Amino acid sequence: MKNRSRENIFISLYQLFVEEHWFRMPMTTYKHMQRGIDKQKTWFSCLILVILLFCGCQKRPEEAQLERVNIAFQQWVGYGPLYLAQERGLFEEEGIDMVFLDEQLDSARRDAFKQGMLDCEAGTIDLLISKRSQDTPIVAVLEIDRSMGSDGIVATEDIKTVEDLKGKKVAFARDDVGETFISYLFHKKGLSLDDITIVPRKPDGAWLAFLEGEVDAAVTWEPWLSKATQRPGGHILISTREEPEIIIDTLNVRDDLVKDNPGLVKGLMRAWFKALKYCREHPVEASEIIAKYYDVTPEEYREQITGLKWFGYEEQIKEKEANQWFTTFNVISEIKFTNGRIPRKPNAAKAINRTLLEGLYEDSQ
Amino acid sequence: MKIANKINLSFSIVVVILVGIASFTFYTIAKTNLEKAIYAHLSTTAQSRANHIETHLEGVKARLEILTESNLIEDTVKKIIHNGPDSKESLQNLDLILRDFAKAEKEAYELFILNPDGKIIASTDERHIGADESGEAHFLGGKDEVYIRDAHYSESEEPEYSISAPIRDDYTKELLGILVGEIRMTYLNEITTDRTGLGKTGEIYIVNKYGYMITPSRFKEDTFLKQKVDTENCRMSVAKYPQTHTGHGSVDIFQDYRGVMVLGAHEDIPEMQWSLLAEIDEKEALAPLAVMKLIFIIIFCTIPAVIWTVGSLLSRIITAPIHKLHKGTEIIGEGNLDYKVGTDTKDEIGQLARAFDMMTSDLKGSTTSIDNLNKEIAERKQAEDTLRSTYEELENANHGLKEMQSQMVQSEKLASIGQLAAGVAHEMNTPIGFVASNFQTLESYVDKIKKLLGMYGELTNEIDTLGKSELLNKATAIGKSREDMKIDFVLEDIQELFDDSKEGLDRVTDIIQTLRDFSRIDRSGSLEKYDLNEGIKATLIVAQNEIKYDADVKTEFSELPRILCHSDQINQVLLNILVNAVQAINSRQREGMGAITIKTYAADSEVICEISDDGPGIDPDTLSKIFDPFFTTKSAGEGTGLGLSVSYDIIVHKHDGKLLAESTVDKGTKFTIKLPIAVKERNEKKEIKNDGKKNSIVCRR
Repeated sequence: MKNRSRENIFISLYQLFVEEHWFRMPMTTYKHMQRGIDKQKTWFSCLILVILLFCGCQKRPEEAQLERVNIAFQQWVGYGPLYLAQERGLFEEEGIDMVFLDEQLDSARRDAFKQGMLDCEAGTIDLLISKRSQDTPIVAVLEIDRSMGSDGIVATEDIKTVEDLKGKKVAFARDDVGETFISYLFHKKGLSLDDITIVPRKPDGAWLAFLEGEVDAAVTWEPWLSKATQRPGGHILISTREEPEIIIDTLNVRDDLVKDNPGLVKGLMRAWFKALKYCREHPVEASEIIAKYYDVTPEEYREQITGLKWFGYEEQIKEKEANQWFTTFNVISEIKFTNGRIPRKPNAAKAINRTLLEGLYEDSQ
Repeated sequence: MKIANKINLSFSIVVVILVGIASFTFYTIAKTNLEKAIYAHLSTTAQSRANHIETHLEGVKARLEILTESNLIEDTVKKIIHNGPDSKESLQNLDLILRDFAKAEKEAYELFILNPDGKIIASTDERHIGADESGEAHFLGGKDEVYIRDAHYSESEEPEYSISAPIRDDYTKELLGILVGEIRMTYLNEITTDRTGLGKTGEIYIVNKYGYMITPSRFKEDTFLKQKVDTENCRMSVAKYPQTHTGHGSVDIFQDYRGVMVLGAHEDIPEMQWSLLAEIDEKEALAPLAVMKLIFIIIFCTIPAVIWTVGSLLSRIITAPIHKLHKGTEIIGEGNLDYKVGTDTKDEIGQLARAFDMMTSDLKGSTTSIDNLNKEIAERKQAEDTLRSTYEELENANHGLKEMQSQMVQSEKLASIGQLAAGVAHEMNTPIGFVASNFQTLESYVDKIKKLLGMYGELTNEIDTLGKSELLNKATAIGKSREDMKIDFVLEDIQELFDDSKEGLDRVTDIIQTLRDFSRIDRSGSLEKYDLNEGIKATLIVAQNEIKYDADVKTEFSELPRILCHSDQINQVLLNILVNAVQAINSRQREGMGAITIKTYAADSEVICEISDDGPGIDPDTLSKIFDPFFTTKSAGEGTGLGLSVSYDIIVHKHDGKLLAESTVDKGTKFTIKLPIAVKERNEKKEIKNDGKKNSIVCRR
């Protein structure tokens, strides 16, 4: 070694990379290198420097891309776990970049589904029926929740029974859940929608009409149902507590997605069940996350959700629930068709797909 | 490694690293600045286009709203509602109004009015009158307020959007109908497809809230509601989380919907939930960077070559004189001292060369002097040889001298012994003399006794054979002979003779004992306890013979402590001084006897013996030399000149004592011996230490 001091930096670099086994090489090569070490050390170190410089200029590889899924739904407390799933990253865990879209109008959702731009929605069975009847390519894959008191009719003091509504001004959204509920009640009582004065409103507008005294009654749901009762004398005339089978929310997914990308849909479903599980295990934390999306306090939120029921995976795969979906679907189809709200009765077998639900955890991961 | 290569390599490495760092830094800065500029440009473009679109939408909306608020429309619709199918005139008027409006609004595809139940009562397209639109968004959305339906396909598959506005009674606010305007996307497309300032690959397009393109792409056909745009730029503009959504911004290089890397910016159109995206291909946008990159790479590649070349030239200039020097050293090394490196350069190497040349000439000069030097060395060597032989001779001489010295000491010893022997012989002579004479007498006495005893023997033998008379005669004869031979006297005298002889022999024994004590034959060599007085006495006996005819010895002994010393050596000193004193006294012609005074006493830590004589004294010159070896005043052959020198050595060196001589001419000389009482052990040690080293005369003894 003739000039150690000058070669010191190169030697240490060389040792760092070769002798410290930063990368391995065959022993023969190593010995060979040892022999010609004087010259090679210098050149090797230069090479390493150049490589390092080039490496420093390179960009890091991009991370795995998530798949964008558009979801739209009306404001309804039963969909709260969707916000929770979004905030806790449950969709991302399934490789989904979930985009929540504000689309209150069912017709707009229908158009978007038809155009293939909207991927899924949370919605009631009656809306599924109307969309299916207009050839909207969507299918229900799981039950989101069941209204058991959260939907109802608010009415003035003098209206004590459903029959009392006759001749009154009632606000609700046409072709929406409200209409379905009141139609069903009237159907049971042998009344017709013609017996009342319908004041059509947007889904999120009916309760305000009642609160402001425009109408005598309004068909609405939580979070507005409780808010509407703040009108003096306002009370809940009847709610889904008495008629629990009629308003069922389902997760509806575009047909082609179910067909072409069942893995993605399953991921979506698993995220939902994960969110539900979290809500059950941590009700307080869950309510704290969700409540802010409804502009209520966690306590109020917990109060509101007493009027609905979420079914976990185990409950949903039961035969009884399957039958209930079909029953409700057919009952409402019948009423809607009779009332002339839909051009034809859609086929329940095509509108409901339980195969993904039943095989949800078969090929996960 | 050669110096040239070392210089080259270090030069190259340093330059390459510096150029690399500089290029990298410049490139990064340039890239950042360029990107910033591009982003700023894209953002501004996106913003202005978005503003333009918003203004346009507002305009259309406002115009429709004005129309719905006009009394003409209100009255006409009222009439139609009240009169039902009979109000043909009103319907015609309404058609006219709509057509007029449609003419003014170039993009309008169709304008129609719905009654509160959702049925078309008037339209620019007559075919549609009476159609039920109650399930459509523009009806449901437009009942309460102005509603803009997002971009969609018209009946004739043309891209359009629609604006619906409620027509209300001015006073009762009752809903009379809804005016719906279906507007073509053409103007919006014009705004977005204006490529001003977008280069060859820049494009601007709008994506609806579902993430689908609603304005034409620069690169693809038929994208309306079909081209999904799920890019980073688009995602950033989607208000997924209201907290983090800013509505506008730019995105670093990303993949666009075609899979091409682009730079982009986005701007929200909140009312429509649209995102306006402005993008440009990275290739085009960063083209100046590519050129820069190429230039840098070329520089990066060429620089080492240039540096190597320059370095080689430079190092050749530097190393050429060194090579010359090297060659010079080799030539000179072979012996050619006339060679000159000779360089004119003024630098350090030039100086070195000149110094080298100077050195060579010096070397040449010194080579000549080396020859002389060699000669000188040879001479010196010879001289050294001579010197060595002389030295050897001297050594031999020295050796001879030493031997001689030893012989001299030996003869001094012999002289002492001679003196001793003479003294002892003389002392023993007298007692031995009369013992010998007594023996002669005894011999005659014994003969007489023998004779008498013989007679008595004859008598005894003849007792039986002879008669009484004969016997008597014989006895009488024997008695007579006894008287004749004076036997009785003999017997008396024998006793006396024996007593005398015994005394004589005792004296001899004493002398022999003294002699033994003096010379310490039995205990020689080791320290022993010694009484100085006794030593003096013994010495006096030994020296008796020398002294007694010339001097009277007067002793004044004090009681002395015994000291540790070599008694034989001290005795030798005493004897020496005494004999010298006697000889000194003897050298002075005088009538009577001389006097020697011996005085002993003890001082603080030493015993002192003073021996004075009343001899002629010693003059100061001589006095200073008396302890020198071989110094003598006696004629040659009489003395060795070693006596006092040896004495001095014994007292001073071997016993740590002092030997002093004081003398006054014509009065006498006094020698003083001072011996320490506590003769320390170190004396012994010193002696041992000195033994064999110091080639002194004393040690040789």
